[in-house]
Amino acid sequence: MSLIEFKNISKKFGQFTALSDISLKIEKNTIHSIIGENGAGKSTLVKILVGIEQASSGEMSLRGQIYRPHSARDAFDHKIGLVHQHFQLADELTGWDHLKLVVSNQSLNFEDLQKKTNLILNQFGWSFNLNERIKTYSVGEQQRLEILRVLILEPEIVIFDEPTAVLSPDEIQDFLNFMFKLKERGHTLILISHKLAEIKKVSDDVTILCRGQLTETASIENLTIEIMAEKMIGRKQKSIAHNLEKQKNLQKSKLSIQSLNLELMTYEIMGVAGVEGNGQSQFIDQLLTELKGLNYSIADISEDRYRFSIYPKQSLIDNFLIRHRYSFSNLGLLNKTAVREIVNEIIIKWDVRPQNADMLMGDLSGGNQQKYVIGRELWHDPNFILAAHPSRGVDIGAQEQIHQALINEASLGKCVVLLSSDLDEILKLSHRFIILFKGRIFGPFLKDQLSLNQISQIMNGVYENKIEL
Amino acid sequence: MVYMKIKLNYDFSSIIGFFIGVALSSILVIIFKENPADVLKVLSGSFLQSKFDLGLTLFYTTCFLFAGLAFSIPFKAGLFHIGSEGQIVISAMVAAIMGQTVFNFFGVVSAWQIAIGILSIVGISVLTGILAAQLIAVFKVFKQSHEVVVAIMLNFILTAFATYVVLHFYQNPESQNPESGLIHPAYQNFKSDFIKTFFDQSAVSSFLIVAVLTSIVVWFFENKTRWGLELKAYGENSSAAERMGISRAKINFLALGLAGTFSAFVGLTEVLGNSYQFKVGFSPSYGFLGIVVALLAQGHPIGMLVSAFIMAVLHKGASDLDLETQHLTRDFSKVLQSLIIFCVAGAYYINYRRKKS
Repeated sequence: MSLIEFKNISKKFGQFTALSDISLKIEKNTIHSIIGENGAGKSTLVKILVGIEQASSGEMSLRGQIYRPHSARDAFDHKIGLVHQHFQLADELTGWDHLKLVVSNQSLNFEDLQKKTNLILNQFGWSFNLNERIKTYSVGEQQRLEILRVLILEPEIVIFDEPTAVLSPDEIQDFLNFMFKLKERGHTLILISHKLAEIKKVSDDVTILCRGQLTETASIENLTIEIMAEKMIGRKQKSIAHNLEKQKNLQKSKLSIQSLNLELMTYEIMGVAGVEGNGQSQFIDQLLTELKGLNYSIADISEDRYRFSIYPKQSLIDNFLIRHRYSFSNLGLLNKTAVREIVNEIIIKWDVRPQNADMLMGDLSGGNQQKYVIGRELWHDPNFILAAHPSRGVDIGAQEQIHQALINEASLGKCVVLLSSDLDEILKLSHRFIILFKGRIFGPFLKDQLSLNQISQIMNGVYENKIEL
Repeated sequence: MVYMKIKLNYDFSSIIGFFIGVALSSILVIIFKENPADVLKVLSGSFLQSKFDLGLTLFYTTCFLFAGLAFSIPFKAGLFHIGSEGQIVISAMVAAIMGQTVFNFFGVVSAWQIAIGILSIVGISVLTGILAAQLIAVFKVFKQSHEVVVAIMLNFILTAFATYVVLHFYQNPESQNPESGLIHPAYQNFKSDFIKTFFDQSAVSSFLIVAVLTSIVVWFFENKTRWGLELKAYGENSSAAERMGISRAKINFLALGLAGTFSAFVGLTEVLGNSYQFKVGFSPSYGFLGIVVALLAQGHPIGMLVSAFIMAVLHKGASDLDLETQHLTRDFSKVLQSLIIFCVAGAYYINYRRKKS
């Protein structure tokens, strides 16, 4: 008997079918991954499981019995816990206060809570100060607190929604080990992700969704990363045209950023690696300030889309117009008709869906927002491109398109700075790269100059003062 | 089947708040042993009793419309501007003083001398409103203080200052009431404008037309100009706006400058168009009622024409409650209005916060 069984689950939102006829089984005490691109229906499936959404048709069974949750409360009563992708933490509280809040409707006094928490902390060898306010926590610590919040309620089934999206390579490894420990303790884990390498490492079973359809549900032994990727995007992955040899005869010119003591080159992608929080935002600030002072035309694909790049309540047209307002205004009056055509071109070129220039930005999915932002930033043919986490939160298809665009721009003689916490992305795209650690810049290094091990050591400060390169 | 797909980009929370406010007021009315149906009838019907009453209502509409605009523009830039009241009072005072003195400089013999005189009254009064509003912006931009705190304090300071100046230097010698003398008769030409004549010498004047035109211009400003776009962008996502080169100082000064201008027009509507003098306490807190007007219309400048009229009808009705009922006084009508303001603003914010999270 399977622990959880989905039978012919479908979910429609109006005309749109988010899930059609999904049947799958999750076995007890396994790690079951549900993978798919953005918008494939992973989150919807999980929301149905935890009672946030109700299925339009089909049914679920849990431990052999029909299971119909109507709210997150029901799911919790059935020992299902969900670790959210976006942490739902109260920033101003201390860790302890937050945990107290979580158990406030349980008959659990503070001493028991402390015992229980310390037990969990010891089991996983975690240590962090729960007396501090949550806003002082690092991202990794916040995630641990979020996990703690769920584990304190002793769920049998734990669901992780994109847990590694915000973690550094080391933290990811820790997290994967943590998942194994949870499994040893008898939990059943459901992992939602699109990072295939990690899934390959930890999963027992994998279910692949593509555009609301179930394309595969099988044991991990029967699947390779390539097959998973193919079933996820519904076609083979494109290989990226990236030819370093061609570059030899180009007239490269230098662009030095004095405040950072860094020399950039045209026709080149400069990668900026490093664990998040090691001076990335200062780096970007100084870079942009200096370039603006030099009157460069800049494409600014910012590090945080919601904070720096979009206006959710404005239409796509206005989002474009705000960015390029000086190109489309005369004596302070705006010319919206010209903008509409350009926005439509961007929408088609970047396959932004739905294809409607009057849509509000906030109504687009994250991946489509990002594609639109990149299209908007590249529209004026800038000669410098800052791409900070350009493919964060977008699916593989869009990622390919973004990477290809960056390479194309570089080959046209632009100067590209690619900042990412995804080391694979940096190594795949950049000609040279630097590593940020505690606000210091290490490098630049040539593409194959360092081994992965060396890079990792620099990223974690082992080398700190003695780099002999 | 014919599908009518009307996309109403309106969030109904403020309307719901409005009705909750009316319902709560009705409960209060019952407690005071009056019939809520009668009270509602007075509230909603008294503006139609005569041309004069309608004229008074349209005068309120004018003031509410300006006050609403003075709130809505900064609101779109992310500022909660409740300093309009102080700006209204101080610019009305300046207009009244100018009205009594400026003819010394220009003379009042020919038509163009009078025109210049009126224009300079308007200009200096508006300038005063702008400067008063920029005080808030200065504290906001350079001292990072919260605009609400500064604005509330300035309301008291400016109102007290205006009262002081009028009572000590410009008190009308022929009156027992705290008020300034009348402006020069040559500047009272709104007395004979066609709107006032049509409404039997009621309070309304051509400023009504100015107000309606202003709201159309504001709509144009918000939707068709670069500054309007920058202002909205900054209000929605200030960090993104700054990243795209929109300056924080510029937006604050621009939004509050416009707010000060509109506040000054409330004062001018009173001084040049209605009483021709500065009466201490002439404003039934237009500045605060303007907040409701703006929120009810969700800041849409054209929608504010409607909400300003609704509020004016209510305001007119409320002031008649005293006469039409046994137990309710003029002060009670203020309680009713405050309840409605409270509910509209409350509903808007509850909904706003819910959406945000």
